[in-house]
Amino acid sequence: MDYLVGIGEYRIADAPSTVTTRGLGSCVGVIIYDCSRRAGGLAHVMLPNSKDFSTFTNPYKFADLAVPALHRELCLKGCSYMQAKIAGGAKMFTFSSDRSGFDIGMRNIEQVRRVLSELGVPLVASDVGGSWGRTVILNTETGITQVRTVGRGESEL
Amino acid sequence: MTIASSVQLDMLNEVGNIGAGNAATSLSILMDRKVIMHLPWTRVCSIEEGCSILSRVGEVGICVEVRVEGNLSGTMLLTLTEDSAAHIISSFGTMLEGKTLVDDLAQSALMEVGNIVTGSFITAISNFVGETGMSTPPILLYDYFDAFICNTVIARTEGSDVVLVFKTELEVDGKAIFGDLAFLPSPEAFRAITKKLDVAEGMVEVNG
Repeated sequence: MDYLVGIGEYRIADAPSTVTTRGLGSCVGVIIYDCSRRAGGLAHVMLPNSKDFSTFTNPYKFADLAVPALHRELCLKGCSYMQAKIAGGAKMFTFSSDRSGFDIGMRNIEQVRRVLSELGVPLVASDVGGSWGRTVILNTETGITQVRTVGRGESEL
Repeated sequence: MTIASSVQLDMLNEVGNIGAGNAATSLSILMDRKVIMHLPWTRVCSIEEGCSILSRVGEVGICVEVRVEGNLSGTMLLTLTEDSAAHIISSFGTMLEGKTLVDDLAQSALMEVGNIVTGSFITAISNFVGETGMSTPPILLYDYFDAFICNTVIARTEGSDVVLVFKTELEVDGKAIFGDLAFLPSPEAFRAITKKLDVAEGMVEVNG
């Protein structure tokens, strides 16, 4: 099966399947994979912290809620040896009028790293930053994650 | 941001309609083609709804983004599919012949198109409501729609899960060119627009 993860969503899958999220800009794609069980999942987070918001509709767009939810679901599936990979967190636009320090991509990356270390999931590979978008495809058979870009080629994590 | 009433949204829609009409006219003059503007609409939505309204999921395209400062502050976007952007470049004639979307000269031409279209939108609405809006120089991105749209929408939300989106689809020469013109006003700009129109309505009653 080929699964697609939309903005502010997450999904887990068993082998053989692929899990894809398209067009990560400042958003971060968080992959957690268990190679012993050949199962894994992908979350597409948009914002670092739900605590910055008084109200919201969908909890899974926030790194502090989506990553633990993804991890919990994999634990319930029996995954115990998990590793993480992340991609995205770009700074797409640079305007001279921007408030200094407003770099949502960087804040997303930092928060995802913090949450992963709190959960005790080692971060084994990242392709983050820059000023370009990324499409991420997790192959649950191998755990290999393909990162595609527009005009900057493909790479593997 | 307080949630807008439907009357206020209608007002913004009407003001945006005037702006978009002017933008369509400038595009038409620039390209010497017929430009059709579809019925515009205005929504108050969550961040991910805003993204899905403005994005073409999974597609690659061109985005020209302009920040607006002053009392009508906000963000303006002109987005084009790859085919549409290529078609616009080809319409410039021999100067850009054989240029692709990664070419600097082609990108600079598209940026100018974006600048003219968004500039005439802002000029028209600022004349209509009598408030100032100044455009900053445009930025062009050639990337995934989701990548640039999400970034823009998040930058506009300023700590709330609510974003105000005005959008209209432009069509040039029948079906050859597809693009969206969008305006994401700041809460202050939205208040300035609705307040001005309230006053104008009151004056008509007094005179009438």
